[in-house]
This record gives sequence, structure tokens and C-alpha cells, in this order.
Amino acid sequence: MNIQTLQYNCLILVLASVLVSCSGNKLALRMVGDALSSTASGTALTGDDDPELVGDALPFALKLYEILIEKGSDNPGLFLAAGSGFIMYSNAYVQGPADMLPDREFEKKEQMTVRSKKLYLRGRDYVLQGLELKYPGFSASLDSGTLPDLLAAMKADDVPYLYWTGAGWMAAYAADPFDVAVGVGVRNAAAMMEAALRLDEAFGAGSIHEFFISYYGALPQSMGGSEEKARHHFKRAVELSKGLKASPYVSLASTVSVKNQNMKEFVELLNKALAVDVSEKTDTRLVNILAQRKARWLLDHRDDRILSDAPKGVKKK
Amino acid sequence: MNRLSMGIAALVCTALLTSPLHALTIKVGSIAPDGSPWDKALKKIAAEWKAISGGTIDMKIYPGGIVGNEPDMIRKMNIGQLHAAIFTGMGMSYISPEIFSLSLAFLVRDDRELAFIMGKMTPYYEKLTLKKGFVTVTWAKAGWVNFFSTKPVVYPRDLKPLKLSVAENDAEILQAWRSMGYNAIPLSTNDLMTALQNGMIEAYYAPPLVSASFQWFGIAKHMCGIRIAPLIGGLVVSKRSWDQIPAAMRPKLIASAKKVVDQLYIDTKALETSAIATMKQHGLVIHEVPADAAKLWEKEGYKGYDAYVGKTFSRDLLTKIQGYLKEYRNK
Repeated sequence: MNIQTLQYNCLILVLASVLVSCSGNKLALRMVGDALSSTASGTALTGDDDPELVGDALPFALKLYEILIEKGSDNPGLFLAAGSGFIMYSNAYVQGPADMLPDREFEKKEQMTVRSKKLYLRGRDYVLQGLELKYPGFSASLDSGTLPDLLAAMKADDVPYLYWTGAGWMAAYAADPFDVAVGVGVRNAAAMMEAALRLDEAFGAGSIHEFFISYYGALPQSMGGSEEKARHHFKRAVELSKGLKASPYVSLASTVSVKNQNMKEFVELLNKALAVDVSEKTDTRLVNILAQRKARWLLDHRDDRILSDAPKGVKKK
Repeated sequence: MNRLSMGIAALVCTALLTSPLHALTIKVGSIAPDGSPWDKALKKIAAEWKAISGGTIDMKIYPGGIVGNEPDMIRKMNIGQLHAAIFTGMGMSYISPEIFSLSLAFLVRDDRELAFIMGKMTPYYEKLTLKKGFVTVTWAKAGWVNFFSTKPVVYPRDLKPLKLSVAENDAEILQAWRSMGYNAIPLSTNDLMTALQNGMIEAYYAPPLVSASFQWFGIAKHMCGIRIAPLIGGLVVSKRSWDQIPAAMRPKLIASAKKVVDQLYIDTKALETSAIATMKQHGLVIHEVPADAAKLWEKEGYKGYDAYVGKTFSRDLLTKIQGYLKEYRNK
């Protein structure tokens, strides 16, 4: 099934290139757009155990999405697929590696972080365009104060749009918390995530709860951060994923445990992340492998985040 | 014999001055959020110090207050758990209270006055911190503090009826604002947004960049144009750690850190300009202050200084700073 899915995707990609370059056929465009935005095209990537291979393949797919969008697609699903693809790519292949660079590579780290922010915003804007196609006037509602009314009218099939818009927005903000133009929209992003949670708590086997672990765990208290809320969402994320996802453990360790300077909990959580089985080809395999890579790196660099005890022989004042 | 002793002593001193630095890890605490301009500047200093020292100085940075607030960081530096920290002027005043005199409301008017007064006073403050076991590697200017309020404020009389948030756990600051006649309420920064939302607070003071980043301006939509006080800070290393660095290397490290913080000030000013423009797009109204109002603010400000005299700094120190400012203004 998975090999078939991969073959299917390859075929779609090749056909899409030919169809889009050789004709302006709207029907062909719609067929390719529908195929690429359907859920059938997802597991070939997410079930892979070779993150580098997927990382090399993704830019081609992302550019293909953009070609289809530029040709005038009005398929919201295509905008969602493009946007979520950019956000995933930025997180896994730009920001993730940047975070793991040593401080001596400061300049490179900075360049990669700036790039990751641009990709997050590009992804967010594609998903927003998808929402605009579904709900004309959605973008305007972000500034007019009418967003709560629109969110109240949304349905479960809107959840992926809300999730990816919120995730892209918050990730861009986290990459550059002093970009005020991005920061002023953070409350909108949080409102979209809250709506998504209300509509489908189990989305992505607890992905929305995972988002809120980082959100409440990383934000300062003055901006709504809360350890209690972060722990609540952690509990639900683990329950909904049946403990099969590594990322909730990494999220709580890298936010709350670090904030509390709790080395014991930090190590325990990361070891739990590493214990998640990635031998089976599941749709969370790739993200688990990436999360475990982060967990290993965090464990190796635990002293960079949590201050060790005072050296022996120094008298405490 | 005496000559021999002197000779040996000189050799020992030379050896100490030129002795190679074995690997030195400097753990640096900072309350600046990860990814903020101040955090990036600190990382740049870390990279430069590593290069200058041929890879032997390794700075580990703990941003975002994860290793505690400023008094915590001083305590941790005292016990050797931390070796350095980036402090605000307030934090540095926990080491030597006299340093707070640079942050008095309505004392210093602009960047040029600040540069002049820092040139005169910082060598004295550095001696005070050194006596406490801390080396001030570099001072940093980080902008100015303004009033933000839910109603327009131009004159002191506009602010007096409003509930003004001031730093908590600091009796002198509270007393100073109250003795100026303001309705000052001590409040933790963590509670500011909620307090603004429920009306418990109607005004606060903060740098515009902070007001924008924490989005407090979304409720307190009026910014008074008068600069209340400069925001200063510094990179401080424990003397115990600093002494482990060869003396010949230290000036290079200091020069590198100064260069980075000078650029930081330029960068943060640009960032602040952009933040103000964005806040204006989202409804912030800036109220410029005419000359007569500026005079009134200064006059009011002086009333608060007595709250600190004899507790935070001496009358002589205040008179000295005011004397320097008078000298500068009469030029």
C-alpha cells in the first residue's frame, strides 16, 4: 500500500509537470490539484524512515504546488497542501537543523532562522488563501475583530486549515519574537488553534494539544504562558497519540522542564521520546525520527539548557 | 636579596600576564528572551570571544531568565554556578545600588546627555561593582522608557488620576512615584496584561519595543512622547572568572563586546522605529510633549529623588550627577 502510494505520488508529480507545462487545461489542473491535495498523497512522505531523502524531495513538490497555484487554482485543498508543506519543510529542514547548530556558527544559524521565518509565513499565507476561498472575507476578519464570529461558524473539516495557519504563524513568531508585525497576530493564531481544538480535539492524534504544550510552556507568563495548561495539554497529547508520538515529550522537556531547570524530568521525558518505536512504517514515523533526533541532541546538550549545581568547595552566600 | 625577590616577583607577574588560557567555560545568564536582539548580541559576543581566545573561551548562554531573575543570577554568580550575566540597570543596581541613579525619572534628557554622563560616572560605578567581585565588561544603552496609558497623557496632571503600574518589591520606587503625586500600584510584569484588561491598571512605563512585543499597547493605546529615563544595562563577569583570562587578552575581549553593543543600540533603535510604526498602524496614538509640559515633568520628577537619597545613593552622588548635567547643558 505504501509503495503503491509512493508510486502514485511520483506519477502525479510527473504528470503534473507535463500537464501544467504543456497546456492551460483547467480540468487537468483541477485533477492534479485534487490528487496532490488529497490525503492519499501523504503517507509516502510521513511514513519514510529516511529524513534526508524526504528533505531532498520536498522542495520539488512545494514548487509544483506553487506552479499549480500560479496557474490559477481555486482548490482550497491545494493551498492547504502547499501551505502545510512549506511549514513542515521549514520546521524539519531549516529551523530544526538551525536550532542544533553550535553557537560558534552564529551567523549561519541566524541566516537559517531568518529563512525559516520566511518559509513559515509563506506557508501560513497559502493556508490563509485557502481559508479565504472557503470563507470569503476571512483575511479581513483578522483585523476587523470579526474572527470569533467566523470561527464559531466553522466545521470539523476546517480544522486542518486552522491548525496549519496557527502553527505557521506561531512558528514565525517564535523564530523572531521581536517582529511586531507578526506578533500582533499571535492572538488570532491562538484563537484559531482554540477553535480547532474545540472542533476536533483528536486531530493529528493530538497535534493541537502538542501545539499548546509549546505555546503555554514557552510563552512568558505575562503573555499567557502557563505551566499548568502546558501539562494539561501534554497529558491529552500523550493519551490521544497512545504514547506513539515522540514529539509531546520533546515539547514538554524543552519548555517546561527547562524553565523549571528540572534536569531529572528533562532526561526522563527525552528518554521516553527515544523509546518510541520507529521500526514500523506508520504515518508518524518520519516526525518521530525527527523528534528523536532532536531529543538525542537535547540530551547531548543538556548542560547548555539546565544549569548544573554550584562547583564543590564554593561557599554559598 | 631584595633585588632577587623583586626579580622573581617580576617573573611571576610576567608569567601570569602571558600564561596560556586553558579551556574556560563562562556560563552567562540573561533575562533577554531567546532570539531577541539582546540575545543575538550576546551570542555574537560569544562567537567573537571564542575566536579571539583561539577557541579556549566557551560561553554557554542561558537566555530568557531560565536561570532566574536578576537577583537570582547575582546569587548564582556569587556561588560560582554562573560566571557572567547580562543585566539591566535595575539588575546592576542589585550589585551596587548607586547605579540606579542613572535611571532616575526625568534626570537625563537624551542620548547625548546620557553618553556624557555615562562617560563621567561609569568608571566610578565599575569600581563599586569590582569591590563586590564583579567586572563590568561593557555598558549598554538599550533605549528609553515612555508612558503608555488607556487615556491621553501630555502633562503630569493627565497621569495623576490614572492607576500607574510600577515595579513590585521595590519600596523606594513605589515611594518615589507616590511622593510625586501619582497613583502608583506595585505590579509584577507577569500580571500587567490582565491588570490592563480588567482596569486595575490604566498606565505603565516601558520601552516602546517591549510594549509592542508584549502587546500591552493593544489596550494602553496612548504613548506619551516624553522620555522618562534611559534603559541601560551591561555585561558583567565575576572577578573569579575574569581573573582566569590572561591579562593581555582582556582588552581585546572588552573591545569586541563594546563593538557589538554599540551596533546593538543602532539595531534596536531601528527595530523600535519599526515597532512604533506597526503599533501606530494598530491604533497607537503618540502624544508629543510641548516645552512647558517637559519642564513640568522634570519638576515633578525631582520630587521623587528624595525617596532614594540616603537609601539607594547619597545626596553627594546625586548633586554630582546634577552638576555634570548642568555643566553639559550650559555648554
